[in-house]
Amino acid sequence: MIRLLTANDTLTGDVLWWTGSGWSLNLPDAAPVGADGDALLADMIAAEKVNDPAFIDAEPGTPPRPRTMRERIRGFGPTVRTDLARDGAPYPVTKLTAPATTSAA
Amino acid sequence: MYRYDTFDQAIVDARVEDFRDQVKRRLANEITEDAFKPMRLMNGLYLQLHAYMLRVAIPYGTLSGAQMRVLGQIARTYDRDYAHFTTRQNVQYNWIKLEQCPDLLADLAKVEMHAIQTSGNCIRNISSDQFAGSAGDEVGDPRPYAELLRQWSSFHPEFSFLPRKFKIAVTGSDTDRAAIKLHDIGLQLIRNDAGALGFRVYVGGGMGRTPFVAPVIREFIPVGQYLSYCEAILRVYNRYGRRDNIYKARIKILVHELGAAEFTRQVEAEWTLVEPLGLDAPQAEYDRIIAQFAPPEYDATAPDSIDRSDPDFAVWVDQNVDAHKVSGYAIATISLKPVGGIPGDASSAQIDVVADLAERYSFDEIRVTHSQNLVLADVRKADLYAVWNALRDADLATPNLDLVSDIIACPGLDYCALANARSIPVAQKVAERFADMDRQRNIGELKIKISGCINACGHHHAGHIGILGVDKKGEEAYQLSLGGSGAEDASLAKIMGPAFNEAGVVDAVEKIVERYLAVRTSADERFLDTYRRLGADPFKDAVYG
Repeated sequence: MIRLLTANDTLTGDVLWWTGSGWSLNLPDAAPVGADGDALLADMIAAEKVNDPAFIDAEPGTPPRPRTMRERIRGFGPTVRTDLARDGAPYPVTKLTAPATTSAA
Repeated sequence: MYRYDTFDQAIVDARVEDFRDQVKRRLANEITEDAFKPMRLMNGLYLQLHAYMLRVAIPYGTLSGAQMRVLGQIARTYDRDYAHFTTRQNVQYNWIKLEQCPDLLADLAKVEMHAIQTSGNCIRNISSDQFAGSAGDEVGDPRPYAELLRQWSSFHPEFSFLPRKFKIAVTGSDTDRAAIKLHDIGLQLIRNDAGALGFRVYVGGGMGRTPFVAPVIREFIPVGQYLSYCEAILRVYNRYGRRDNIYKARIKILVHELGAAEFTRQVEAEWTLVEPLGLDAPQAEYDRIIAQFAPPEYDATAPDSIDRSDPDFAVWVDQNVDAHKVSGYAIATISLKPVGGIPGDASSAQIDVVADLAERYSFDEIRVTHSQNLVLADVRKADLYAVWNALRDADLATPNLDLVSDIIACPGLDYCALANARSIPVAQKVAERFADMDRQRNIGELKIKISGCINACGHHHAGHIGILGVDKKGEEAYQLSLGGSGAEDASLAKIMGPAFNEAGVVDAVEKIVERYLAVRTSADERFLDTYRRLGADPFKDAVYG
């Protein structure tokens, strides 16, 4: 299991992933945070430039796979609309279907 | 409907500019997020999983066509071309950018709308019966009283920092379409033996972690005094409601711990102090507001029959059209629950269609229901076919009101930062399992309600079948409950047994429904009635046996 640093962009609210040198909107860009992570997080909190910075656990890989469904959804978007999900989502994304046709009583 | 006076408009405009300045300072890092967060929340702006979410207030669920159009324009301009109608008769946008929010709020203010007090520990949007003013079973129109409550509660200085959020619902008939017994205060308009109009007052209902059906604390308060009586209730709550434990801070806990009798005694004692202060509106103010809810100019010659020769239209009429108090008119509910769709979501194009229809066929008014549907409350029966055709073209004519696919679902883990599990995919899969409309109609009234966490925004406690998403060691699981109701026969659903995974809960719902069909006495016995007659055992046997 690896640790990733994530937050939300203050300006847009977008989910952010720490790449080792800055923030990315893309989970595949995320880099594992090592022993210096706690100091990095403390700096982030103090600087107040992003919202809710926090560590999450993930399985290593390309892209990393967050341990919880919550973080996977943060990484790849809602599971219920193909147009809102990001490519490579590790779950099936529902394609919205047309309403059922009615039938005569 | 109520139109802002200059005072209403001035305070809303002023709030937009206040927030514009607050956002500017936050983006310049001149104020911390800790300082800014309460400000944005008091303006309805949350930070959710993917982005900021803005919750816009729709007072007692009533909108004009122009307001509806602006909701569509906001979806197009500031969001991703859709909006989500909520169980509090509000609307939410899921992809808002902080820097654009002041402009968005300014657009709302131009049509007398805002997002004030849609979050925070204050009195939230007042909700009501979506059929208000049009229902044949109404004692009186609850909307003027809901509007006065809106004015009283907006920026109320004493009640801006309550122990916890506070929700009030107002209805005007014995048929409860607003779940008043599951609110902090539920007000039911009634007439006493002398024929005077007043309210029966329920206090201490609610869902969430600790659900309660509200007891009656006063059988009758005259309409001229209900405001001061509400003030007394809020004062008792504000003073004695718990602030040491967020999970025990709602008024329902106070009422439960004190007991309804002692709580009532304290409210009555407080009211003897409050009532003489003159907080109740003078008759002229009541009259001013009531006049704004005067009935529209109904066509006295409107034919009272409906041409049912198109069988698909007839199905929709049977399921989604209700009786109106005026001959020749009907109430049409627009389902936002297409099978396989997302409960409560509407695209900007659909929003525009509904605005068009309201302007053309329903005296320029739309209602939002707590079941996440929309209503045209004053449609000539002769116009229903044209309305249905337009709705059908916009994928808005699903004839499933109160059927198994008319599911309430919160946004769940697909959007919400509080959720433990997804709600929407479960709603979609249940609806798809029962997609056959003939099967749905054979099953009859069956209200399924799904929440993605214990906060119960999906009203699972009030579901005939309730589904609660929980987290089990990092995996989503779903608890089933049976026997809840948010109607006049309010009751709380009881948990059936061990939880299921997503596929399992859909199978379990189907087994419950099949057992119901096997044991009901007739097609007229609703699922809820069968459950109340037989208890949970036959359904547990079907699912776990």
